[in-house]
Amino acid sequence: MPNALAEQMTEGSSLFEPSWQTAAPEVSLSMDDERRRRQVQLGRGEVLLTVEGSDFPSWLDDALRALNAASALPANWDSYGARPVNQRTLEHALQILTRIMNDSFPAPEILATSHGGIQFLWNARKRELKVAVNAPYRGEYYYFDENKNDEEEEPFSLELDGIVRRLNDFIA
Amino acid sequence: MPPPSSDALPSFRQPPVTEVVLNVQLAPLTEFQAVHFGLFWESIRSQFPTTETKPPIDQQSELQEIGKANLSVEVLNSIPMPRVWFVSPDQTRLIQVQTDRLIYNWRQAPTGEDYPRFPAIKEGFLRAYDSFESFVVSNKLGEFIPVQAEVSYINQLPLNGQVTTFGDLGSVFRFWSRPTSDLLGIPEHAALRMSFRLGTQEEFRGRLHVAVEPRFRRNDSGKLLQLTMTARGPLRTADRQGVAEFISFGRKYVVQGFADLTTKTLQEVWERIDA
Repeated sequence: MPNALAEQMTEGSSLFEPSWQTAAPEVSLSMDDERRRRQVQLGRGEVLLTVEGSDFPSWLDDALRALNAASALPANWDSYGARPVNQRTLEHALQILTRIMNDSFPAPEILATSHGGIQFLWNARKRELKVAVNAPYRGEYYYFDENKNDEEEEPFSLELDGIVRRLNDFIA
Repeated sequence: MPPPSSDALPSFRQPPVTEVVLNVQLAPLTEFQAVHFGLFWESIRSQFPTTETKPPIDQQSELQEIGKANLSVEVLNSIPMPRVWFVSPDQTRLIQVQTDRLIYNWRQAPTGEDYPRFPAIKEGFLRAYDSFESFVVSNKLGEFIPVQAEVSYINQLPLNGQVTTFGDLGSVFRFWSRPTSDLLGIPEHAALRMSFRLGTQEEFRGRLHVAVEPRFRRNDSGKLLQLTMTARGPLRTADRQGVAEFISFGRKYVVQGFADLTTKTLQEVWERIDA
């Protein structure tokens, strides 16, 4: 009887060869699973973008163009020995952007850094927020509000709440 | 979920645990290529003489807020990098490597080797961690940045005594009353998933995920309920010390959570002993 049952591991379970089989296949017939997908070029690779329950955000296409432009820069693009943008860092930068942005935030300016990373920059009304993605899961952000003389510089890895908090300050 | 009240954790003479998994997620190693699996194997081959190639596991980020993002990005690699298993001669220990993960497993052998206890498994994991970090650094394969760690205990509860059916959650969890209904009786089949936030109001330490699901054992088709407890979370410091600290921290929640959630009747079968 177990041979007729689904044999694949379920998500989040054992990372070893399973010594068991699932007792019933799971099939979703829900009509509430509305998703939109787009496969796009990003640097030297491709990414699949999936949005749930809404349209793709308005800032996305400009961001993809800017990331691809940064990725296309050759080595020494600044004539001071700059490195080309690392593909993994580029992919991670897009992942960060999708996690920190919402439709109420202005689109950032997107630039390559001389160390092969990506920088997001928001600058308006004497407020500035710079987010530098130096490598996957390694970066720092800098915020300065000249009106309040409020300044902060912090590294980040997995958690991006500090950046989102400063983006909220930025639009306040 | 408040921290366990002391370091003295409940223990069992006959624990139902059949597998323990210690896992660290890394920032993707940007210069790691397929050939490096073989080069790494050379350094551990005497203890892990066989290999298998498996599909990679996706990154799973344990974030403070659940379900905030509705736009996700999946990187489509034209040449996907696999996950490789390095297996001990008795098949009970395993190191798994992919470009952004290192995993160490102990599992019960078919011959029924006793659970070697957590300190020995953690020691094996840290040896594997040191070997892999040293390999990555000496071969310049990218920055070795641990991002998140995870502890999983997989417990198998056979349906041959205290637990009677795939739906008999009342025999497993002390918070589950039974029968569910006079009309319907005990469910024929049930599965349950829960997660608990770890840490304090000020400091998010991750989550404890608890899942119980019906399973069949592969070797004899025996029916069982599988109770998986996983503590996963970000690191206080992105280094070996941070990884080791989370592994011990997460294990406390797994063990104390297991004792708090399961019934006294089952714990008598497992021969609970308290320090």
